[in-house]
Amino acid sequence: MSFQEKSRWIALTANLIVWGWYFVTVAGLLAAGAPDERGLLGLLVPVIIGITIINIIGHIIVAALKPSEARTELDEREKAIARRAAAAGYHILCLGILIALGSTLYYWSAFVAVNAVMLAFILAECVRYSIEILSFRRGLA
Amino acid sequence: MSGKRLTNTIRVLRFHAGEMTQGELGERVGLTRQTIAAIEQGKYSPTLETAFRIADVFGVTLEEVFRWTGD
Repeated sequence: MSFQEKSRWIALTANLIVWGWYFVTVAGLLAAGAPDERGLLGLLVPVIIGITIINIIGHIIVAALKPSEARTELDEREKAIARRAAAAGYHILCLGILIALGSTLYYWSAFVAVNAVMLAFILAECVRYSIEILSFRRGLA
Repeated sequence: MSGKRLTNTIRVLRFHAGEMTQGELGERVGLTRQTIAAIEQGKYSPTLETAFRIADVFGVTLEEVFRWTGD
């Protein structure tokens, strides 16, 4: 497994764990009644810290285990994989934002709208990482 | 689309070049070991420039490394 593939696994895992916690918490707040928009910032701080810590520690461990393969620059195959994954992620992002905007026509809430757009963004990122991992495994030919 | 596909003799050429490793070849042409492995297995078709670089490492022509084979 290349350093780039390990890096995508770390990023995907960090996103699923931390944003998973965030959206479960947000869903709980919504279920409990009118949520406080100001509380959003308080939730985002641990998310940003958590994502950063998991990514830094994960990459340090992976680089320390095989320093010879710890490269940040991509070769031509890795770049092609990144382009394919970014294109798929972009479509998911567009679709998610359209759904989020469309849903505000029926139910307007700044809290819901902001979180729906964030969910679209995180889903797009997870799809991007997943397609990169799959392409690393299955190839591009 | 024809049923043809790109095949290559990189593994054989590496063997004849003093059992050069995938990592060594990768370093010489600017690719990772995993990308060389993907090319050998037919999971990735390199750019024309990289194909020439690979042929150059072994001192052979492009046709001796890559072939367009099939029906």
